[in-house]
Amino acid sequence: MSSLCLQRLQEERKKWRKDHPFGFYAKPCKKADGSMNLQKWEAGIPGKDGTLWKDGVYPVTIEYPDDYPSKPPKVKFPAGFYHPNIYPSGTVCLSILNEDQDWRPAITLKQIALGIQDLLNSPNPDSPAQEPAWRAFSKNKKEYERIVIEQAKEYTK
Amino acid sequence: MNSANSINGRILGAENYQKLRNSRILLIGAGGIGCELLKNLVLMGFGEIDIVDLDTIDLSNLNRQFLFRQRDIKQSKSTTAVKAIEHVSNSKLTAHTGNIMDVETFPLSWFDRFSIIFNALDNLEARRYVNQMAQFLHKPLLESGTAGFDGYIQPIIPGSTECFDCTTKETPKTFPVCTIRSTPSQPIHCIVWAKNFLFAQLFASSASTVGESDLGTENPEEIKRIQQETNELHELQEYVKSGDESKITDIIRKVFVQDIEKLLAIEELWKTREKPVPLYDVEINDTINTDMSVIWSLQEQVNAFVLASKRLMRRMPGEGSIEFDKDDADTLEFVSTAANIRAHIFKLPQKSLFDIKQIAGNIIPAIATTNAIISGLSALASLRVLNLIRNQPEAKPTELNMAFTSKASNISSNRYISSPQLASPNPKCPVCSIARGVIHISSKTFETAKLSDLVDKIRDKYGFEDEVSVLDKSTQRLLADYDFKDLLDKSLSEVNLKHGVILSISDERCDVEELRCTTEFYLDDCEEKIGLRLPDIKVPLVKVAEPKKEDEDLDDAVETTTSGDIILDAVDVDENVKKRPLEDASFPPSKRIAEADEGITVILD
Repeated sequence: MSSLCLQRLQEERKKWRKDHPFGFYAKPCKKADGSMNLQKWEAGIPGKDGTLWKDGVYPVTIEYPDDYPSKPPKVKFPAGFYHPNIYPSGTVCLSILNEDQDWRPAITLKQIALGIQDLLNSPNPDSPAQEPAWRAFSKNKKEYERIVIEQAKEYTK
Repeated sequence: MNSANSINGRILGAENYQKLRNSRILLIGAGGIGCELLKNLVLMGFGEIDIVDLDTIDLSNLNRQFLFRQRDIKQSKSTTAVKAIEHVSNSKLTAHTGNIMDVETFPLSWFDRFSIIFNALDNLEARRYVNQMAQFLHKPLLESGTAGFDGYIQPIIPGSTECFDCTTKETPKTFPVCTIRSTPSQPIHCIVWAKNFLFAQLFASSASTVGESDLGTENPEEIKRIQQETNELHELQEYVKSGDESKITDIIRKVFVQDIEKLLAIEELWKTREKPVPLYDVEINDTINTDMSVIWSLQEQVNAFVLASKRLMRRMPGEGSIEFDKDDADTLEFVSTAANIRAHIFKLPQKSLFDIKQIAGNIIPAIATTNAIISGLSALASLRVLNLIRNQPEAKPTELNMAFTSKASNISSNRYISSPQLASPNPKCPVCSIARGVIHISSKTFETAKLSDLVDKIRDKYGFEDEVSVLDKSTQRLLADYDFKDLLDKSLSEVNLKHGVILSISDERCDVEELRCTTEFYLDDCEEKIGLRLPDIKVPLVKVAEPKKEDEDLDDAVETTTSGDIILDAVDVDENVKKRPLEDASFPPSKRIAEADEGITVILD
């Protein structure tokens, strides 16, 4: 990993400590030897008030590649997470997390976290990433809403 | 060698020549540049030259690494280079076989004996490492590299000129497996498929297995398809081993018809892409083309594919497995024709055998002449860096020159070499803008001192406040910071600190105008009776940079759209977002394959 990557990750930690949106958390994971791995973080994304998602704080892992910030981090929900635009493995597909699309080295952890929070309640039916949530969202809203609310209970604040 | 001595003496002047004779220098790398450079340095008459390389000699080295002969294949590069040149040498030569980044063989103190370091390396990681060592020791470093007809040299004078990491280096771009296996959009994708996938699966011994992580797709149908396809190809390898040449048509049907049909069945893939057309109604006849420099017709490609497959199948029993080699006509024709047939299926441009040889073969050709020119420049530049040129007033570091070929620089098309003066260090450079020192610490102290003891001593001596973060840069581990104090009570050895580790200490205070400069410490050995000694360095306070206006704007610009994608900056929201990926043709093809294939960046040798 380059010095730039490490330096930037330390900055990200500092920025987050100084200023992060209410209800979110983000922290590097521990390695087996008890030290912290700055390349892998655990974060919590609260559902927005006034939405189906409001009762949950949803856990994600954020993995930074060796050539971050040239390349974007990879963000994952738990496998099987119910959302039309989240793949069965939990991977989030967002244009700002895609090197070939809108990723820019200046994008911060805060922006990523807020972006994912937005995605929760604004799914895109035109780019399905998983069958169950996508089908329910487009064909059976009631069923969709029931499962989302159910899922929120698993991740209560 | 007396004549050479007297000539060099006359050119440099007696006094300077004596300095040269008294210098001990380090050359890292005994490859393309290394062989040339070693010869130059020996003929210039440097007193002592140490040369390091971890590699052994390969057949493909011999065209340019002129100190090696066929009989030397599999021998150590550094040792062989020294043996080859000893008889014309008036220098004391020492060969080391090992990795320059191995801290046990080459601790920081080992680098300190040299008056200048020459890099003749072939990878970014080692270049970065040596750059850091030079920064710790304030040693001049002569960095160099070549790729094809291009090359550069850059003298680095720590503290005075730009270091290797002052500018961002391009990182290799790799292709996701799904692009190669399912949705190629450039000829290069077909070549990578033919060479690294099809050929490897059918003929090579180490057929790759695909893990989910690097597929680059999350479409469960597609993942299933990719894995199934891999298994089926293993079956085809059995055909190949059976030696039954009538099975070649089965291979064609499987790879160019059935696999494509399966792809077509995943409709989602083709919503935004042109559909491929399977190779139906294929006939095999006698028409062949032997002109390597033209693009063959589809019929000629298919016929040549069959012939190459037959020849390879006949070789299998004797050889067991066959590796791709651009100079092995059978393997090259197989890969070239398979790539072109696939390109036809996906409606992509085809390439001549000659072009594919360049792309699939050695990526960017290593050119002896470029290596010779760059090594010559490197050797000459060292005389200026060491200030050994007669009647030349001592140059300020920023009056020294670097050199690069115009093509590499994109600056000028009408001259081969540009040689601008060196730039000052980048004040934001993550490597050379920070403070550095060497902590001497005895083996026993690792057992007896706690992490907190070391951190407290560092804080007291250099004026850091309470809030610091402690990072082990060698293994990229955060050991302590404002919110993480679990390890502070453990001994240094318990937290896996040892000699050769680089510790990075940063001031983590928020809302202050000035911060103590981030400082890196190399942990070096010392006598037991000393125990622990911190270096006498100044760690300055630096003004906290105002947050850039741009960053603030960016905050506001992040917005979600109903498209489910987050889009930065409304200006970007147009069709281009969808069209742009993989259409980037601004790189020359040779470079794209270089990046895809072996993770080689612009710099090769």
